[in-house]
Amino acid sequence: MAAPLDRAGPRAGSTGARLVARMRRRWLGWAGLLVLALLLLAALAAPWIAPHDPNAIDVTRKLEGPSASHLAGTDHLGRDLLSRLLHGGRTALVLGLLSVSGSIALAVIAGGLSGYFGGTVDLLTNAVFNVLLTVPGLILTLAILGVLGTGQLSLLLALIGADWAGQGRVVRGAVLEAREQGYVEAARVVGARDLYLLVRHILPNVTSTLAVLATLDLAGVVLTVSGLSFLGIGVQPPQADWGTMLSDSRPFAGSYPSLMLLPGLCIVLFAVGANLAGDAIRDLLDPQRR
Amino acid sequence: MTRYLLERTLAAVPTLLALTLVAFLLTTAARGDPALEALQQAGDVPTPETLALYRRQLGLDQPLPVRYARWVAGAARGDLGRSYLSRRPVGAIIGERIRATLILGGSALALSTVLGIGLGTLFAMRHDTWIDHLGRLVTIVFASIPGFWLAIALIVLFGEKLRLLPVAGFGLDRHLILPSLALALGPASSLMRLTRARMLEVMGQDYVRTARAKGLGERAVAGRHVLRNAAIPIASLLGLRFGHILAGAVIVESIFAWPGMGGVVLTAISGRDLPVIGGYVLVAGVLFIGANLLVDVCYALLDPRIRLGAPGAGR
Repeated sequence: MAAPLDRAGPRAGSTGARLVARMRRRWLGWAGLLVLALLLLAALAAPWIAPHDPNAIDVTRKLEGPSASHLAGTDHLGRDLLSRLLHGGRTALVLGLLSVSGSIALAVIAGGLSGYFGGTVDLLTNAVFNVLLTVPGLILTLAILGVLGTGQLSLLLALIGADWAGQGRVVRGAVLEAREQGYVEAARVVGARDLYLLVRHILPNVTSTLAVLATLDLAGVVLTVSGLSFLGIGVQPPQADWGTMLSDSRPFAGSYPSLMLLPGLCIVLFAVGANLAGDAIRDLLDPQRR
Repeated sequence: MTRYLLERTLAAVPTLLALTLVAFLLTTAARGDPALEALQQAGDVPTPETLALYRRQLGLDQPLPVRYARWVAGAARGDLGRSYLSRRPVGAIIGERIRATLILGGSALALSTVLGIGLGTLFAMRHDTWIDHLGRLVTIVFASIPGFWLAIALIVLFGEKLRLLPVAGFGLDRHLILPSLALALGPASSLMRLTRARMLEVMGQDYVRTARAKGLGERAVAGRHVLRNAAIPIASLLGLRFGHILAGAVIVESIFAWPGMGGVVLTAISGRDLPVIGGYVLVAGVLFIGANLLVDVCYALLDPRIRLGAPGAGR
């Protein structure tokens, strides 16, 4: 399926021009990775570098502008905005990594077994994929949240439950392709067993696919979580989260725009970083697009 | 053509059945006893008698396959059961809201099509110029802006500061502009990307060279030859993006106080109103499947090979 994106066109010009274009693309990709890495680092270090307790309320100092003690100002409860942004990044990071690794792990197991063994296993797994994919992802997330009730664990399950089937189908395709390669056949002939073949020969061939799926999913998860938290059915207050910060800021957005701009900027930067990084990995690993 | 459309419609039947299964399972996925849960959600104090009565009323004393068959039969007649919270029929609750969601969704879809295909074509025609490079960044940024944040920004800017556009409520006029924009940007971004890539691919074909060689202008080549041949994957992406728009509408509707299905869903989620959740998933899924059937019709209109049932058509 996936139509090749960003293939250099026929009018791409001289080799030199094409090289420059490719460098520029790489440059964007590196910038994306850098932004993502900085955000992740800041999120990881949040408990140590945050100047204040993100939940410490001080109503005498509410809605203040930037100052020496509150570098980004304070929110409507006098909480330090910078500390909340940092800790919000931590929330996004933890949820993002857990849900992406969860759904990718499921996708690898289901898609891998289905693509490798074929037959009945494939038929059944594919049926499950198809059933889940009849409902648009975010709607499935909402529905699972509705069934499980709100909470951190349900949120995680809802995110994984909505994402793994689509990823599993992609993994299945990649495994099907890898299985037909000559060296896999050769390894089989010399007596390699299924598990060994899967882990040593097939898995390395789908890692590039997985890396792309995971980075793009990371961007998607952060966007989804912030939206759900904004609606009050994602991360629950008082835990600092970019989405809940935005919903807190809603009544003040007109008069105190930084309350709304800063968390939004963090979300956008995170998603841009992950999207650019995903693209860059795709460009880097796929020889056809080089 | 008729035969092709008939085939596509029949192919949608298993998908539809799968959808009913997901939706039904959601309605029965209560952690404990659904009857007890229903009574508690409605704020009643359950006694063994009311429980037994309610269980019989809901048909919960029947085995699961029987309940599934009944649920599907009911759904086919528009009967989706009753809400735990309001005790009103789910079909009515969703039915009175669906029109507003469809209007907003349709308008957002149209806007993202115009934006996506228009800008994507522009980027392809200006391939490897600064417009194209800027476009690449714009695409990524559009895809990374959460719709709800854009919605707030638009409200603050156009509603509160400039006072140009209404920021809340339903209307077929200027009320539609801001929510449609907030919903359309994400899907527009992926359309831009695909349009650009497909057009670049088609531009390398012989018939495009021929068209240029016979002296057609760049615009005529792009419009008449390239875009038409690039259109089929773009149409399928449009069908898929309609699903995103439906889902995104839940959030955007709540911000703009748009009286669509979004508000119903959110209430149902926080109140764990399972029949409404299942009903919503069914309706949204049916709309999604319907949109993709429409896409199949577009294929036939775009490509005479599909229309006439030529072998190997419809890539």
